Amino acid sequence: MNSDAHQIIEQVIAAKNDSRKADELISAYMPFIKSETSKFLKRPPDESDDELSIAMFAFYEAVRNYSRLKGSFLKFAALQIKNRLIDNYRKEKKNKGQISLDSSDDEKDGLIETIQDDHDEYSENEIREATRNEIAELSAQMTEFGVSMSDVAENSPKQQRTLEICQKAVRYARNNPEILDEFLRTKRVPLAKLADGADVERKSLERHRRYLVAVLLICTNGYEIMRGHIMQVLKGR
Amino acid sequence: MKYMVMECHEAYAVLMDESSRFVTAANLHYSVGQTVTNPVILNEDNSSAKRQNFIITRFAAAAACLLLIGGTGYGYYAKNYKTCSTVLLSTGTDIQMGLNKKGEVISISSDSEYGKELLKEYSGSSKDMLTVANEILELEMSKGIVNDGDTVDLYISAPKSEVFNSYKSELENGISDLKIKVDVHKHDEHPVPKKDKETEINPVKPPVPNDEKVKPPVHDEKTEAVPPVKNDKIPAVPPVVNNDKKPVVTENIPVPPVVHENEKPPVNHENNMENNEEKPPVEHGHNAEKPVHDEHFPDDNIAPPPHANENSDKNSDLNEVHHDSELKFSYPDIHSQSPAEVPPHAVGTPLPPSDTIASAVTDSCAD
Repeated sequence: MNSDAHQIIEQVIAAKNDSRKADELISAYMPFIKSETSKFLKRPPDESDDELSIAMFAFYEAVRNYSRLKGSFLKFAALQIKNRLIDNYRKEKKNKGQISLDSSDDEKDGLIETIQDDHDEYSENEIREATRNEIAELSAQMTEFGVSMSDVAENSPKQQRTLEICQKAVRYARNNPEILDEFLRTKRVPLAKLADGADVERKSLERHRRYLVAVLLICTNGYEIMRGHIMQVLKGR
Repeated sequence: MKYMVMECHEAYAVLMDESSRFVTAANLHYSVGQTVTNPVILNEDNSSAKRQNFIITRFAAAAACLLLIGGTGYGYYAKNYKTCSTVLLSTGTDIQMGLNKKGEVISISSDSEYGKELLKEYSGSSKDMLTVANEILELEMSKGIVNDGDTVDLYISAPKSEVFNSYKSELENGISDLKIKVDVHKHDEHPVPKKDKETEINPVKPPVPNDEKVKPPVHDEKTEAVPPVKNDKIPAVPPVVNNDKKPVVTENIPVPPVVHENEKPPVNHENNMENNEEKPPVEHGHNAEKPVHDEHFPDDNIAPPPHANENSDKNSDLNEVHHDSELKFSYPDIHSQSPAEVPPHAVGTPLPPSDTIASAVTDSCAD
């Protein structure tokens, strides 16, 4: 029993910094996650249930936040899953009384089929496809810099003040194409030039280097959709 | 806020918002490139831990500051405001000074009413011990409590002997300007004061001898007499007559009578008196009343003293009966009594020596 506990703890510690191992751990403990979800729902969860997704996310959250001082990992994870499901239930409680667009009385056509939709779904799909391609290309380019999306998410500034500093540096780089050229050529972020040019602290830029890699890449050619998504930031508004 | 789905995993997804911030959120059936709203964003436990650490650090710093301030304040208080030593001026006012560690006076108090009244006119705050002592003594001298040449006792209570000696030498040398003598003692030697209202209000002064106050004891004739001791074995002894008409001081020790020239000493009846089981108590004192001479002369059966025949005037002396006025005893009327009933010995009357009386009786009988 102790050896199993030690094994789990070792796997958890390994999955903290490796997204792939985290996925493997989640897949290995899916029955546990389903079991905890069923306790809350009072029924076996379905793959389409948001509660199961929430539970899986809570398990990943437990892996990220676990430490030996907190005792047994499975108990800690079960508590995290329960708390997340309760929070989601309270959040969804506000939408009580609303009917899902997919629901129907006669199980032939969903409600969504009866409602007039002015959206051009085809174009939306195309845009989504293009965005997906950009994101894939961006991920590939970020790999050359030794950065993954998970790393960027982890390294992204949490405080508003730090975020503004990084945005200021990105705007300066966008207004000075030679810096972006140097960035693409050297595969390194010119922190000194950015700090001097944007008149910001270099230490703040150094702490969020991987984040700056992703954003500076978005500012280069070929990522119009993503650039359009963060246009407010790029324009300084 | 709109979020662009950048990457999808089994349990989570990476989203980018419109402010270029990347976040980790729950993968609620997202697909890459999808734009979503209201995601379930990952809660970093490190942030809460950091917040707790921050709070704990702040509280610990505040507690440390409070401890430092409290310790400093207590140290300052202990040095400047805490009473470490006391000096008691043992005059009629019994004023006590409380001293801090530096020897400064921090409190002046008195348990007596007179002292409290005196302190109303005086304030010794922020002054050293010697100055306050001098000023209080000067004030008492002006009030007449202490006079020139008086001896004032000072009682010092100090935590260490070095402190006591220091205060002692300071007081002995510093109060020498006043015309009073100072005796410094330890507080343990201070006598327990009498908690009497009279002593609190009025200062204690040495008693003044006054003859008027001393009244001689009054002889009360109505007091009951001490019953005489009857002893048939001891013959009646005539009272001692003193021709000098001087009062005879009666004491426990029998005093032989005055023997004039050509007189035989009276008989000592001490041996006879030993047969008496009971003896009335004899009380004497320096305030004792002078003996009263009883005019009633004893019966003729009793032989007069030998010197009685020489001088007829001296017969009046025979009427003298000496007895202690304080004694509650009255001589019975021997004229009405038989010789046997006559008490052999009057209380307080000095017994003449048995040999002298015996010889006097014998001589008188021979005459």
